[in-house]
Amino acid sequence: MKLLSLALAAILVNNVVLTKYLGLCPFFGVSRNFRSAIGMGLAVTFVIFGASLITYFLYYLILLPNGMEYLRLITFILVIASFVQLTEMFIKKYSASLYKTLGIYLPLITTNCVVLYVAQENITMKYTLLETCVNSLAVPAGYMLVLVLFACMRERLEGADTPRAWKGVPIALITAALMAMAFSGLAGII
Amino acid sequence: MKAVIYVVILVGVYALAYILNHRTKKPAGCENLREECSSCHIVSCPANAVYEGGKDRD
Amino acid sequence: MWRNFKDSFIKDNPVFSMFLGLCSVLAISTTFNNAVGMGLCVTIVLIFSNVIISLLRKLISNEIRIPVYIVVIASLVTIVEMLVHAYAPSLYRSLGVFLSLVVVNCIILGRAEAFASKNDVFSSAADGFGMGMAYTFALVLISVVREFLANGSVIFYDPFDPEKVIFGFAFESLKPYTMPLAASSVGAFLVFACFAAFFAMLKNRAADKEKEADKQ
Repeated sequence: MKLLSLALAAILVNNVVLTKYLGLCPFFGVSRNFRSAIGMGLAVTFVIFGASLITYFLYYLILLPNGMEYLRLITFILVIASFVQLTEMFIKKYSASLYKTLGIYLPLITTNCVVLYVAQENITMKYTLLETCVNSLAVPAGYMLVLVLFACMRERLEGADTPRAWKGVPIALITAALMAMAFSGLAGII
Repeated sequence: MKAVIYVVILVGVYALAYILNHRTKKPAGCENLREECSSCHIVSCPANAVYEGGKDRD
Repeated sequence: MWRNFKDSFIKDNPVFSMFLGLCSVLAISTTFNNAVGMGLCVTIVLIFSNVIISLLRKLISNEIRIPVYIVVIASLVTIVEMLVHAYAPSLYRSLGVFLSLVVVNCIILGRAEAFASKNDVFSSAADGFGMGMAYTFALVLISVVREFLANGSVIFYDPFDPEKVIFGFAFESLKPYTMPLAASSVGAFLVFACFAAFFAMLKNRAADKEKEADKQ
């Protein structure tokens, strides 16, 4: 039961984009159409799940016993970057169709705030292994949800008649504000 | 001492992964995939339409 | 060079015109204190990373430049994080995870790739300082508006001693009219959208003026 509330909280209540302002660069760039949003969402989910598991094990098995907690940030960022590179290499070798959908987004994910955030949170909140898995799947699921919703809205926004200064990012931010307002109504369910 | 060795190993793994990835060719038909994102002006972002892939380095 | 400096503040502000480092801007600009602290941290990391990468630029081959940048920036952020944790613990607590997220801040990696890898040490340091100041300027602007709307006052505490107030102004009469919305995420998006539109308007005006001058 606790895991379910953890998952729901991560997806709806503490949504990583709308309440924690993370992962905004791809949010405004990639969410122009529906297919790229789904591709990006899946890629991010896979990277976050894999990278957080690896960093979790590295932290508790190597860093803590040897008293090297200060190397946490360097470890995380290097693990995330290596994982992304290896993933891209495997996708290139074994699945051309997958590369067509996801391949372009993978290098972007290295500098995506969400990945590092999830890795750090798993440590600072002292989650167990199972909670880490659930968290690492729920947070990117929430991210993908918002990305897809935003993509659908943005497709409509492209055709609207916005004033010149508001075109592009400013009007997208207003849309994001309205979405945040809508999601904040869900804050009471947990 | 342990910390230095540890960091060197990690950096080595990353450099290896990066170079391996660089050397792997893209599958056929995927050569010119571009995501035409122009929302921010980070010239070094590979998704940006004006990215030149580090061509003009000496 | 002064013109470049002025331009990077208003016309090509990395936050308002190029939308770099948005994650940290929206999250940190709740109070003036946080904004100044974060801006200084980013500026310091930016200057040092630009200098180091500029010093190493002849030695790094083109293939492994991104890994090297990432390692340099990560080490710098770790050092800055530890210093802040030691000397300004209240700032460390309010910045939270966003201090670690400076590592993936687009501004630092972007400037390293676009400028520091191609220019000498002195200009790279100056560029780091300029970009950092522009970022701090944007952050302070937003935070003053948000804190004022949310609390009716703007107070700046000494980061090394959280009780001492360095300066501040408060309008007690405005307290009943404050909008706590400005401190939440909705307010962040709205305030930033207005600022972004304002700066886009300035940029459009400057571009129009240039076009007029070109035509004649």
